Amino acid sequence: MNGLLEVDGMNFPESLKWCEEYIDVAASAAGAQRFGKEREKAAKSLISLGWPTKKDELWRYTDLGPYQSKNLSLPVNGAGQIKTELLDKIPFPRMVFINGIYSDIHSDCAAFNGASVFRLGDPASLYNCSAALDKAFQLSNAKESFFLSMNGALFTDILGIVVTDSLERLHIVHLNNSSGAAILPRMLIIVDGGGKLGLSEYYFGEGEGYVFNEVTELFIGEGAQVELSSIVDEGSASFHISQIFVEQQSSANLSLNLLCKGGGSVRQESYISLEGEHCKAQVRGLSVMESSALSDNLVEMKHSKPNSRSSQKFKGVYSGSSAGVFRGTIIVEKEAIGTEAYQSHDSILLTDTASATTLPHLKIWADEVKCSHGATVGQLDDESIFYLRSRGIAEDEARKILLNGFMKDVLDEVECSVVKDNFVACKLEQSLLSGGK
Amino acid sequence: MAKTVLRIAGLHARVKGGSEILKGVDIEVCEGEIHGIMGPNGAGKSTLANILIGKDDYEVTEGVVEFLGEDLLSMSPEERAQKGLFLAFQYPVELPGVVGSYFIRTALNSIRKAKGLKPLGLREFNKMISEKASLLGVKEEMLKRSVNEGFSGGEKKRYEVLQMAMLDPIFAVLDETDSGLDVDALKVIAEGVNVLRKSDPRKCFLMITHYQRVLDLILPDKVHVMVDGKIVKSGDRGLASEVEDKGYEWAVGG
Repeated sequence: MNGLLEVDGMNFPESLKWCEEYIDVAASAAGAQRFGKEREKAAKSLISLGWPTKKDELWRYTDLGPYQSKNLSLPVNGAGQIKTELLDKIPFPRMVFINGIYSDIHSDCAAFNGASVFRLGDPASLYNCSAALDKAFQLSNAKESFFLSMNGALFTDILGIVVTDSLERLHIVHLNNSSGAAILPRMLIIVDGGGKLGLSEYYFGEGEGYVFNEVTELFIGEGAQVELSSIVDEGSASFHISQIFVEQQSSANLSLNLLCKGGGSVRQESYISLEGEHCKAQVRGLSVMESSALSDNLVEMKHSKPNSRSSQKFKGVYSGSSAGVFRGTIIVEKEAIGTEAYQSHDSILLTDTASATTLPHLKIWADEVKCSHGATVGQLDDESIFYLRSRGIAEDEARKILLNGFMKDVLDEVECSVVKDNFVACKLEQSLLSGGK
Repeated sequence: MAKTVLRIAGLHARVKGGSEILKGVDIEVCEGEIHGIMGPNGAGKSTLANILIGKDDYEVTEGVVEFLGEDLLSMSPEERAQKGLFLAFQYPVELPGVVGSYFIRTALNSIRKAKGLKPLGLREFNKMISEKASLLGVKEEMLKRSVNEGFSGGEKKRYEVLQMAMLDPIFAVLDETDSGLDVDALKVIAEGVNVLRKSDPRKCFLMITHYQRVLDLILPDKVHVMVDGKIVKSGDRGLASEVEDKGYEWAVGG
């Protein structure tokens, strides 16, 4: 059925048997042949790596058992059951994916000046985008991991965004409800010629036991600017992993804001490579988790050239028996003098059973750099609660005010008010307040 | 005879699980009165202030405190504030990320709500707070910052007085609001107290202090000297200068 792909001879182990059918369908999707080699390589790596376990340092806080024992499947087109009222507050231009499948009726991104949006699965949209497509896999190929390979072996579509001038803001929405499915979107973004892009991503889910595994490659050319804010609110028994690979050229500017307010296990990996001078990269994360959810963030910031600045600022509020993990790595190459790189992780635990873990890692090979890392873990301060109460403010309201205060500096940096409002309107009030007592 | 606003009778209290700090305190404050409490460090002055506002680090072992005829000790801190009690803290906490004007408006509207009043709209509130802020020398810029974060000692004290002026209590306790302030800043605080008194002559104040000088600017009707958890002497405002001259030992002995 797929002449170019030599996967027939591949022997998927029992825990990945479901991939056999999946890969056949994926490899025959529109446009897929173009990336046959990448798919084959990824499939081989998928087999050789196998599911990570808690014995792997990078996965010691995540229980992948429930997904490993499942026969994951191709997502069903769940458009019939999806709660589209979630879309009411999300403006156009927007692209909506239901279980990873592009939904034409909910999307509208009419022609942009200075920007084009295409999909590998939509041949008509590919006109003039061939050169851009050649960049797919370039950044992600620098790493090898199980979930990266899963996406590379089984992806069915690539969403491409090429900006040469300015794209004020594009909203990309993922609605997931396909229980037991592996949903594997892939995105390629190129911002060039001093262009500017604002991007908002929404991940809403409610199904049981699905795996959402997204890979994004983002090229930011010289002097270009990108603000990307995302909000994750996945189903409580789901596994969500988003991996973003960023390459920045001289004077490129990135503001990446990762908000997370729900899910089963949410893993966000950000690999940022500053390949030019005078780049600025700011990665911020804010997670508000409850029950037994996990928010697991990994950032790798690599300074290759002199005089760039980066910061990683992560904050979390955890109740129930939820957990937050932050692994922040700073790499400063020998040549990258004058680097400034900072990282911090601050957590508030509202219950005795919640936890927060910080794993900083600094690899600095250059002299004359400024780098720092720090972490705090604490409860809501009783003295502060009392101060507010002594002014006539009820205890629950006082807690809410203090939590909002804690989150403020991260939220202030989110440019998209839709993402921000969605986050702020989270279950904070009920669940967290009661969880805090 | 003027109505009693606050009545403290036979009050004994200790730090939870600790030793006794207040060993029988009696004070009665009537409408329109200003009382001063003087005393050395460790006398229990701040403990008294904290018990009045409802800090739960302490337990009352004996005695009663009535506020407007009701049992104050059974009320939550927010209820006390809603009923018109205010404490200007000696060491106000910093509230990172909580914007000052938002905080004060939330407090004001919580109190209004408890009184059955409609919340104050943003415009009305802004007008009111800029008037009072300028009167008390609180820069407008400070209202946009996080509460008390990065404020100097003097700024924090002014900010407490601004909150007092905004929340318009019936009874305000100023816990060493004068300490560490220069004469100009003291005058501002006195101005805050006097503005409140002018708005309603029934308002009461309890000034807790080490020094007489604040009592020269805000003239008390009564002065109490507290030593080792007890009021050892009470008198008119002349007592303040006498204590300042002769020392606390005199007060205990006399």
